Amino acid sequence: MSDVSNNTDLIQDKDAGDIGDEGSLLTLIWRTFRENKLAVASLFVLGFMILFSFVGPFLYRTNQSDPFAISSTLINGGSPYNFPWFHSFSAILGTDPSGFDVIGRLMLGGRTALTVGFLAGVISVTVGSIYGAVAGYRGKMLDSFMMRFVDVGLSVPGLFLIIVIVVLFGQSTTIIIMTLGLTGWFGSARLIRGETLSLKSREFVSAVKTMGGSSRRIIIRHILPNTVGTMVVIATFSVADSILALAGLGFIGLGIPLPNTDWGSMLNNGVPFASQGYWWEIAPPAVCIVLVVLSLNYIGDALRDGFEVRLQKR
Amino acid sequence: MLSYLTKRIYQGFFVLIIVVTLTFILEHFVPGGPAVVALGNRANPRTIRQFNIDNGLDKSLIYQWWNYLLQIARLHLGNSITQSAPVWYLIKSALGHTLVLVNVSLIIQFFLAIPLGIFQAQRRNTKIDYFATLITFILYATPVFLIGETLISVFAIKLHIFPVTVATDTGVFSLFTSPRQYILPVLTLSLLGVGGLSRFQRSSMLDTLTQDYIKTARAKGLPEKLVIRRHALRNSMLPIVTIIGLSLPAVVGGALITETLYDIPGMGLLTLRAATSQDMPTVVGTTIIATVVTVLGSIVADLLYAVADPRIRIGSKGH
Repeated sequence: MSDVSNNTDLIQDKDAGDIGDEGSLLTLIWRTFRENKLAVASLFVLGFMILFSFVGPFLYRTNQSDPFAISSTLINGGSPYNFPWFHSFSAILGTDPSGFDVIGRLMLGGRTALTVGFLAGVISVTVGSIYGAVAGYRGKMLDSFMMRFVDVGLSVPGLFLIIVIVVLFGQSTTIIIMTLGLTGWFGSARLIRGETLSLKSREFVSAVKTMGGSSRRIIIRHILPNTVGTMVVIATFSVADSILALAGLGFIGLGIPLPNTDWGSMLNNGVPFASQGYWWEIAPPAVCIVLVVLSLNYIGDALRDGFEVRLQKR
Repeated sequence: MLSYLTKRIYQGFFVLIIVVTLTFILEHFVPGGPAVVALGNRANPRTIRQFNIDNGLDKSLIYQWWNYLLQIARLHLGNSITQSAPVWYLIKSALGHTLVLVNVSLIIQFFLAIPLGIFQAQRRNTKIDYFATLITFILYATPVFLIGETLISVFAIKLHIFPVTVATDTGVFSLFTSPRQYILPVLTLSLLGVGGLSRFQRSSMLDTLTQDYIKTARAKGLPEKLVIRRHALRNSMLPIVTIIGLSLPAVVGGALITETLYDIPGMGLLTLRAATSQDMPTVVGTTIIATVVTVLGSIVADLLYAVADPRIRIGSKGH
């Protein structure tokens, strides 16, 4: 990161004056960011959810692998779905239909949802950025040819494509991450291409060209580092989208396979019981999904203001 | 106008060829190849060998690809593994339900989102605007199945106003003949897009209100209502029309989930049932047809835009 920001400081000739005396790019972004109260609050919410999912299991130990061991000690006369907090303070949100403690389950589900969302988001931004930068920099025939593929990707109903791949290649965590990543990069390719088009006519690019820098060097060392603002913003939205998509997959029963789980799969398991009035089977994962996606969207908005990135959509 | 149309159809054709090629490639990457896709995981080796010979799968890849394209073009999508019927036959009976659901929801979505966006733009940065913004943001972040589940548990389970699922033995147009059971599904699918669309309408309206012709309208003493209705409304809606085409893939994906929530026998339910029973030909078939429908829909949306905006019609005459 520091490498990139140094690079940008050197290169951003126009904005150098605005950055002023003390501010590096990061402090400047933070200054705009913290004016957005909702975004700061979202940062806390997201931080809490990350701590909850990754550190939580060490503080709040539950059995998440053997439902039978739990169901033998079930509270409320062996009823598998306990109303929260009325029967036991040891399981404040109650237990799910298989007897798993819901809080523990949420932590486990959060760990997969956040990890899968993050990895899929990073894959899609990486692929999209490189693709967009190459298309934009090379221009001409190659550009229009490459962008036709982006049009194709944007006009296909993604959920169907994801289902096809998961059905054809099996329902595993790796495949889900790859599928979400590789079906989600089209939008970022378009945005990075747009930015590349304006960057490649700037003086520093011609300077590198005059010095004999190869296209590859220009794209990797000079164009892509300058789009890092856009990339970070897209990545935030893209992680949110991946978490939503994963939740959708989980909800239709094609999510992370057992014994692991994700929030969408928790919803899927809880829905038959929710329709009998056991609403707490679906409320906790639902709240988690909405909170995380909402805060990522707010953070992305504030980052966009910070980087002064103009996104066409959203 | 005509050249624009031909260009769009040509582009749509390209999209379809790429998508079909993609499923072709995917099927070849499956362990066992297309034979396993067509016959299922449990097919014995001899049937697979016979299938490969019968379908020319021992020939060159180019030949297979061309053959595959021709098959799809003739709507030969193979046979369903679990339902012992041609995939196209299953799709034909499901497609109507999805088309009706998607189109009605799109229209309802507009009737919800556009007034909301205009309302917010007129009361920009007031408390009620912030509140509406919060609601639209929450809607935006809420996955469609959650919207659906919430509606079901409030209106169907708690209040008993609407049925939980749609009656399965009804025809394609049952949405019009017995609309009550479709209120929740349609509302679910329309709320999916309302968040984004009303945000868009709000900012588009704000942009329009800064235009010179609005200043002129105000300067000549028109009441604000007329300024909005006669001068700003239509112009602010133009960019929204472009959004229809762009949002179609998401709406079709949303329809998949909505149909599974309410048991509507459309493409989504068909796909999902096939997916959970490893019925690969049906999943591939529905994906291809869903893409065809989406592409056609976005062409229609683009034409609507050309109809709505005279500048496009005149602009394309020159070419």
